[in-house]
Amino acid sequence: MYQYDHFDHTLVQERVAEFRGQVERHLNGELSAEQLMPLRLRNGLYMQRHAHMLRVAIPYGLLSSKQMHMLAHIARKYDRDYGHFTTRQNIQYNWPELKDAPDLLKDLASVEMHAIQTSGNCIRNTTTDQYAGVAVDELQDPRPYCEMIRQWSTLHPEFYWLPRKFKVAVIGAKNDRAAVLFHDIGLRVLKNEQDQLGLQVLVGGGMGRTPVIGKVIREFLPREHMLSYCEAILRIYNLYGNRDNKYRARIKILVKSLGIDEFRRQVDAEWEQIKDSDLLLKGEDFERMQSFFSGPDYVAPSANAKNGIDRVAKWRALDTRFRQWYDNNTVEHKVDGYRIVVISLKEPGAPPGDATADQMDHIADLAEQYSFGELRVTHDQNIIFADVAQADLLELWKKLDSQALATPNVGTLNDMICCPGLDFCSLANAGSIPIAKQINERFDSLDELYDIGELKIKMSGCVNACGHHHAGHIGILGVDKKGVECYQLTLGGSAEDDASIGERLGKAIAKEEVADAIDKLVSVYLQNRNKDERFLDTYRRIGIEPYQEKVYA
Amino acid sequence: MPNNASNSECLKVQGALIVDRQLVVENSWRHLATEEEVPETGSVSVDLARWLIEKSQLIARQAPVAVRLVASDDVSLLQDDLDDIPMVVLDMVSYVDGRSYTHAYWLRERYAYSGDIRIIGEVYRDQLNFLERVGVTQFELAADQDLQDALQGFDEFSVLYQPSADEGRNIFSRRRASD
Repeated sequence: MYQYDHFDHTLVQERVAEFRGQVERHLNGELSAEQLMPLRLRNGLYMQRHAHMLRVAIPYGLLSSKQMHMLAHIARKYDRDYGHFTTRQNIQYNWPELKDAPDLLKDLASVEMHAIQTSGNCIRNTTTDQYAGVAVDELQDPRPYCEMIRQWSTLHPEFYWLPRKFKVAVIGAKNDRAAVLFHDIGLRVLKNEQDQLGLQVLVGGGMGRTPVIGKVIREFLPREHMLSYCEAILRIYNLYGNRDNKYRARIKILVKSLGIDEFRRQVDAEWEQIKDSDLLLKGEDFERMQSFFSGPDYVAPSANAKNGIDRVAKWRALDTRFRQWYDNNTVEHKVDGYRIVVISLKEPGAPPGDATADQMDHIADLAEQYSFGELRVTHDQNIIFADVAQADLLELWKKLDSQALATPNVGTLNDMICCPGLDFCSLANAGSIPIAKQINERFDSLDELYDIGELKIKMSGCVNACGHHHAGHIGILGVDKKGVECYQLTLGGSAEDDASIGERLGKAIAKEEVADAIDKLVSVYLQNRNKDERFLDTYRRIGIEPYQEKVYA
Repeated sequence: MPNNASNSECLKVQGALIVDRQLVVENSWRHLATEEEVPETGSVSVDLARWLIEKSQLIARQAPVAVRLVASDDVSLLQDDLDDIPMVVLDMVSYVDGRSYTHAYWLRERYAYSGDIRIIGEVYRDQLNFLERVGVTQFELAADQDLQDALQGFDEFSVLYQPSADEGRNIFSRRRASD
C-alpha cells in the first residue's frame, strides 16, 4: 500500500499543529464556536445529537494491520470502545471530546492517517472498488489513481470552500463496485483502441434528496490529464454551483441546469488553459504510484498447503456452518490458491458497520497472520482480507467465528447498508439501527436468506441519503411525519453498471410495520421469480404494481 | 465573541492590513459604496458595475482607482481593463463562499494580472494561507483579529501538493524532479 514520504508526513503533522492551534484559540475564547465550525468540519469533527463525532479518512478503504490497531486504540482512548465503518469506506467515532481531538489526530498521523476533508464543503475521500488489485474482472488497479487524486485534492487552496461537498470514485474493473455513476466525479480506468491508458469521466451523479445518475463528460481522457481535467471541472463548479440553497448546491444540479453539453463546453474551455501546465502527469508518475500497490508475494500452494486445501474441501462437505461462510463470505481471487474473505460487520442485533475495539484488534492480528498485514473497508460496511491462502481458510474461519465475525450473511438481505440515523445523527428524521434490528429479527433463518439470494437493502434516516437508499434493491428512507418516525420504501435501485434510482412504493409506513412490509415484498418476489432471477431482476420484469397491491392490501 | 482578559495586550485594530506578510498601520484605500461620490483625491475602490459604466473617467482620475468584485461578479469582464487597474479588491462578503479564490486565481493565471489583489470583508487568520496561494497580496483583516497571531497564519504549511498562483508545484512533478 501507499507509504508516506517526507512530504506527506510533514503535511499531516503540520495539519495537526494547525488544528491544535485552532482548538486552543477556541478554548481561549479567541475563536467563536461559529468560526471554529467550518475549520473543525474540515478536520472531520462534527457536532452530533449527543456529542462530537470524528470521521477518520481511510483513503479508498485500504488499511494496514498497524493502522487498524491504531483505530482500536483510538476507540479505547477517546471513545467508548467502538467505531462505525461508513458507506464511504471511512470510520466514525461517536464520542470524542473536542479538546482531545488534536491528540487523537496526532495519534493517527503516527500511522500515516488523518481526518483531513472528511467533512465540510470540500473534496472528500476518494472511494473505489473493494476488490481492487485482486478482482478477476479487473482491467487496471484504480488505487494509484485514487492516491494521486487524494494528494492533489488535499488542502487545494482554491477548492476548500465549494458550494457543497464533492466526492470522487474510481473503478478499474468490468463490474462497477464503486458506484461511479452516483458520484460528483466518477472515473473508469480503461484502454482505448490504441492501447493507451485513460479514463472515462462521468460527472454530476449523486444521491441526496435529488438522486441523479452521472453523465459522461468525456469518453476517453488520456490519464496524464487526470488532475487537470478534474481541476477544470472543480473550477467551473466552484464558480457557478448554486450557493443560495444547499439542497441545490451539488454539481449534479449545475450539470442538470446547464445541460451536459454546455457544462462540457465550459469545462473544456478551462481545461484548454491548464492541460499542459504543471498538472500534466507522466507515465512514470503512474508507474511509481503503481509500485506501491504491486501486491504481496503470492506463493504457489506447496505440497503441505495442498493438504490444507483438501481439508478445506472436506470441511465444506461436512460442516454446514463452514460451508455457509465459505459460500457467502469468500470471493474468487485472481491468483490461484487464494480467496478474498469478507468479514461481516452485520452480526444480527449489532448496529450495521460497528466494530468494537477488541474486534478491531482481533481483525488486525488476523490480517497480519493471514492476509499480508492489509485489510479493506467496503462501502457496504464490511471488512475484507484480500489475499488469504485457500489452505488457511478453515483456521481463519475458526478464529473469526470466536469473535462473532464469521456471520455468513454477506450479500444477503441482512447485509444491509445503514446510516447512524436518529440514534446519533443530528440530521436524521428517523432511526435506522432499530429498523435493521427489526429486519434481522424477522429474517433470522439463514436457509431463508440464502433462498432469497442477493437482495440489497439500503437505509437512510433522512433525505441526505448517507445509507444510499435510492440505490437499494429495496430502499428504506426514514421520514418524520408530525413527530412520528415513518418509513418510505423504494424498489429497484442499483448502484452498479445497470444503475437505476429506486421507485417509490407508496405512502410511508409505520415504524413497527417495516419488517412486515419487507416480508411482503419478498413474498411477491418468491411467488413470481423465474429460475435464478434476483429480486432486482424480477422487479424489473413485473413492475411495481404487484408489490404495491401486497403491501397496501 | 468574548476576548479573554489575558490577551488584552494583543494588538487588535479594526480593518488592519497585511501587505507582503507585514502589518501596515496606515490603510490609505477607501472602498466607496455604490452611491458614494468619487472624491477628487485619495486611493479608492469602486464596485464592478460603476467601473463598467464610468471607466473612462475613472482611468483619467489623478489618484488610483481599484475595482472591487464580490463573489457573484464576473471577473472576466475586467479582462481587457487590467492594464489600467492598479489593484483588484475581492470583497469576501461571506468567508464560506469560495468564488473569490477562483477570481484571484484567474486574475493571476488566466489574465496574467501583476497588480495587487486585496481581500476585504470576512478575512480571518485561517484563510490567509490559502488566499495567498491563489494570488492575493494584501489582506484587510476582519475586526477583532489578533494581528501578531494572524501573521503566523501564512506559515502553517511548508508542503504544498498542487500548483496554484504561487510557487506551489504538482507534488508528482516535484517528486519526479527530486529523483
